[in-house]
Amino acid sequence: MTRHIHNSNEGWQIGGKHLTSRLFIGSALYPSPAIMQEAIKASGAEVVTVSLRRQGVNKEAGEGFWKIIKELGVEVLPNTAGCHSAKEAITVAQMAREVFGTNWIKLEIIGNQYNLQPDPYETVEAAKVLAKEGFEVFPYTTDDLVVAEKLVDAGCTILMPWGSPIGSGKGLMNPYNLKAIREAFPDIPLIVDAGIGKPSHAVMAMELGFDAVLLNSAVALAQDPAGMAKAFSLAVEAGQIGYEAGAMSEREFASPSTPTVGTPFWHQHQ
Amino acid sequence: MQVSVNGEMKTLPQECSVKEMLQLLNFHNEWLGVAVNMEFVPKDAFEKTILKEGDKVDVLAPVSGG
Repeated sequence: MTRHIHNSNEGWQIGGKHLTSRLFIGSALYPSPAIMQEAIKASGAEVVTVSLRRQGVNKEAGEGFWKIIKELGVEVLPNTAGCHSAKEAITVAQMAREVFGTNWIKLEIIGNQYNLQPDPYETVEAAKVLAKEGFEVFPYTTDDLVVAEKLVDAGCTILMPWGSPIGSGKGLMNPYNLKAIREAFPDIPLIVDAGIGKPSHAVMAMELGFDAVLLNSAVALAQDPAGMAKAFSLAVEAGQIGYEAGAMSEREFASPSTPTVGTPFWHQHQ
Repeated sequence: MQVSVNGEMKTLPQECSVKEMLQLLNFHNEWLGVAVNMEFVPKDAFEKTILKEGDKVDVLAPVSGG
């Protein structure tokens, strides 16, 4: 197995930027803007996802939200949520680049309304165009290894496979597939995006050797979003340090941890 | 002429540019993204982009996202 080294003490690089935190957090679904701010601060996240919607139709769309995010001094990762075709996503990405002043784009093209599964064909198509146009494409994809390969061929230098469907909070449905993607792409930054519900899920993603975790609902819908944000911050760090420290190998049988030599009250049977 | 802006039909003068349309319809936000018929229109092209009858315009602004 190729070992993927993260160098947690020195931070890490993604999309041409240097980060310390390995938690990416969403800005949606919080009970209020004040709670959102508090939760983002508590998470220690340096990257926050944002989106674009029709002004006037969406009441939230406007300067208010964007000013709050700017005040936090974080990197923003705009998404193309709501797009169903490569063409739509490319146009939204171009708009986002100008509005948010970043070439980062979370490429999200939904193929199925029931499980919000990304459309692999449209995502690969859009990724080709956006990579050529100089975007740092963060493609939201499933845990399918072949699709991951096609995305890398299309010019993606980052991959964001799902843990489970968006907003489900079910955690990592298929750790085997995620591990296969990690092993196939030892040098590509990998982020588990979607499906994380609890801090233990984030620990698991990091223990698989993923570079970061992106989540939103898990914090925004918690009873105490700021408390949960802090818990995720610790979880991601614990998983990362644990991964670097190298876990023991699993064994089929029990093996005592306390030394057996000198066990008291043991007498050889005559 | 009739132009669809964010899904609503609006009456605009002939030869109306994107820049004029934004002013007439009170889009004053500094951070706006515009597309006409699903093609991105960069800010520096607002003045020279002239709308036509039946165009579909999207004016997008920042919102929260996951």
